[in-house]
Amino acid sequence: MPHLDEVPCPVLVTDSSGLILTLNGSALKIAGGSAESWIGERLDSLLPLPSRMFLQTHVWPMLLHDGFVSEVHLQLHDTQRQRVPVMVNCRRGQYAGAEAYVWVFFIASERSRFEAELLDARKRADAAAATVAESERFVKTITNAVPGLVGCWDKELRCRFANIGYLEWFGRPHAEVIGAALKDLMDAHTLRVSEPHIQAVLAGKPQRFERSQTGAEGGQSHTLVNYIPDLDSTGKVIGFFELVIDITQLKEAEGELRLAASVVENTAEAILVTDEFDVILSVNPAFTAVTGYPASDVIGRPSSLLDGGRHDDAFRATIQQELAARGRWKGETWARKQDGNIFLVWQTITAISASLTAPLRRVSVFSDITERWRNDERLRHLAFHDPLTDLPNRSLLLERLGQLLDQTEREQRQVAVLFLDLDRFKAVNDRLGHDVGDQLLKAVARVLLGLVRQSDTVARLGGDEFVVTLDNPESRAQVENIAKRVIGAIGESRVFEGHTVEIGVSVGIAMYPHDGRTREALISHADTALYAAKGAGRNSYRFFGDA
Amino acid sequence: MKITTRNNTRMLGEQGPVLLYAHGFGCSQKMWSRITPAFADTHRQVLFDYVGSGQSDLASFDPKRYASLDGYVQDLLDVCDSFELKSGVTFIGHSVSCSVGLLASIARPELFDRLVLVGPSPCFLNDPPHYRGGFEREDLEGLLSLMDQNYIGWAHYLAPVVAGADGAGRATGELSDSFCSTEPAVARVFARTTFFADNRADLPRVTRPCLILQHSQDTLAPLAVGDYLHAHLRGSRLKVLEVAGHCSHMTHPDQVVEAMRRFIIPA
Repeated sequence: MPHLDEVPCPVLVTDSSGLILTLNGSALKIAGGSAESWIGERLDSLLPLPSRMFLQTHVWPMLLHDGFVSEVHLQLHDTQRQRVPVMVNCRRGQYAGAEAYVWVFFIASERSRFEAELLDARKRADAAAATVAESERFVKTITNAVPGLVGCWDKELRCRFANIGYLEWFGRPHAEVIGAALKDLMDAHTLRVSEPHIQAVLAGKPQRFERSQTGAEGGQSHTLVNYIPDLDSTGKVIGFFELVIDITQLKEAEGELRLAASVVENTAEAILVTDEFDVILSVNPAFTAVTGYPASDVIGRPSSLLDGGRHDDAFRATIQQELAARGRWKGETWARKQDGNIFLVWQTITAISASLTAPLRRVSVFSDITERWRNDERLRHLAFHDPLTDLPNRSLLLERLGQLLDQTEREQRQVAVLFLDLDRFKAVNDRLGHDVGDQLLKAVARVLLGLVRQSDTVARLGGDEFVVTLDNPESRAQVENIAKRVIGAIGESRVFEGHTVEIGVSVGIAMYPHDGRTREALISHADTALYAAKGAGRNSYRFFGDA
Repeated sequence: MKITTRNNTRMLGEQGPVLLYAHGFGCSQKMWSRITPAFADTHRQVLFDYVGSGQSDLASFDPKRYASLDGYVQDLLDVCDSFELKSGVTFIGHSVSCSVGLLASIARPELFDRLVLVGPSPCFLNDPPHYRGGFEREDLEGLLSLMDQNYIGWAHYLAPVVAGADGAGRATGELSDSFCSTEPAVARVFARTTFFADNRADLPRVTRPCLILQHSQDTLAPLAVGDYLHAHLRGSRLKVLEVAGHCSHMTHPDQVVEAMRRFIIPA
């Protein structure tokens, strides 16, 4: 077939089953091999599988029906089994006296590329259209989910958009609302209230105002209205967006909130709110009054800046544990004011959370109880001390002696109890008056305190009776020695208001554990010994049992 | 929309038993034109185009309905109902329509006497190790992209985008006769439905006698597929035609007619 070889592109002739009857040199350049090797083979074997499918599903039906196909895109395998894009024309004709199909292939990569680009453009356009559709769906879903009215109006106040909430409020279907005039959709009252804001937003100024309006179900509701100007690309106002939120409940809650806030503002207790890391979030005016810190100085700082420094870590850990376990702690703590003064507070700390998801807050309510504490301390002191000499009284003596005996029992120590009674005191009192008597008692107290160690106790039981306890004296001799020194020191003459005063003292001594194991027994036996001493003459001492 | 318009139905002949022809993917009822003359005097012959093919009503195309073969089965049954066919139908299907016919006979066994299956395949995809449908998924994707390339020449292909219309199947009006007048977006749906379908599990549920006409050299339905069908369709007959290609009803109508006659009119 020399004439076929003159055709500058691949040409094949097949029968109606696709069996190759002949082919030209150009076709062989792509297919490889010799003409003989291809004759009787199937056209399909030159094509990759997708092209074979296209051939069978599209090309052959058309060819068999119409007798031709034009400009069909297919791919051919070349000798390296690479896919070569081709365009195919085929026409029914005659070959060697029988019906045959003449296939002409064009290697048309340029055109294929152009069409690929066109196809790509189509796909991009499809994707863009899909994106627009998706973003419209997105906006619609969001605006319909907003629990309020969302709308958009053009400059002539015609509705461009209204979400489901708005449609329900208007009580009209979408088709009637879109394009309708604002004045036909809105009642006269609402329109009148909104009018100045509409003018303002159309002048480019965003608006936010409250208005009461009749709701979709008829009841009055309080709403917050936002107008946002809709600007075109040049910045010109072409309408406005509207967002209306029902704030009826908020309004009611706001009243409650205002009340709560005024309580916080006006209460005498200092209130301190921290986050869960104890960073101060807010304080009330009473806080400033109590601590001296202005709110601005403490907000954002750790609450530990108020720490009085008198508590150990264990105490602080206890508070944290209690808060974690019970959400509440109350008690006394030492705190520090801005001026550095330490003061005692009574405080209640409560861990609260506005909702399950809201962050934890700690609210500390406290007041300065330093004064009260001081009063309490003074009363406690008065209860246990002789007001005149400030020496421990009988109660405190018994308490201390009891503690001492507890320790001593464990440690096998001795304790000496010295019962003292002043001699001639009554005479001084009667002769020179109570003031001198009182000064004398104070002097005796100082003398006694000067003779004993810190660990020993000097108590005044009343009148001219004193008790001295000695903790673990080295020996009986040392006790004796102290008794002698007491007698010597008290017996010194003193001058009060120009009067020389001389008194004496008698001392009865009981030893633990020798003379008794209880405090009562020891005091009682010391008293017994005292009487023995007095009986023996003034300014003397006796041990219990030494009659 | 009347079914006769929607599916472009036609009935040839006025008397005799009914032969119902269903075209394959990429085709239309025109592809039966070399078969029908043989039965013109003896049978009533019903022809139709699936929605989206041939001269059917494109506006009726619903990508969801036709995303599974059930949509095409419904087309077939709608056509039967439009002619008030109740029984005695001999179904002749090509390629994917063989599966459509088999599914229809499962749904309405009383309607069909028998089925002639030209180049059937219950599953085009390979499913190793026991089933060889002939194709891998990437081959089918390659076919879809060739379809895209070839349909692009159509002026109206870009029109829906320019007009901002919503894509598949909304373009109306007469289409060119090329490629059996299939709208590209429709063709994509049909191609996917056809080539990704797997109806192997339905085969044992078929109760009507089938004649399987296989082609000895068929890219779309290798011989093994015919054997598989024969083995799984109870009481089926298998005849392998000495035909290269997939469209013996067009290339070798005499052989098809002959086989049909033997099957329809028992000796």
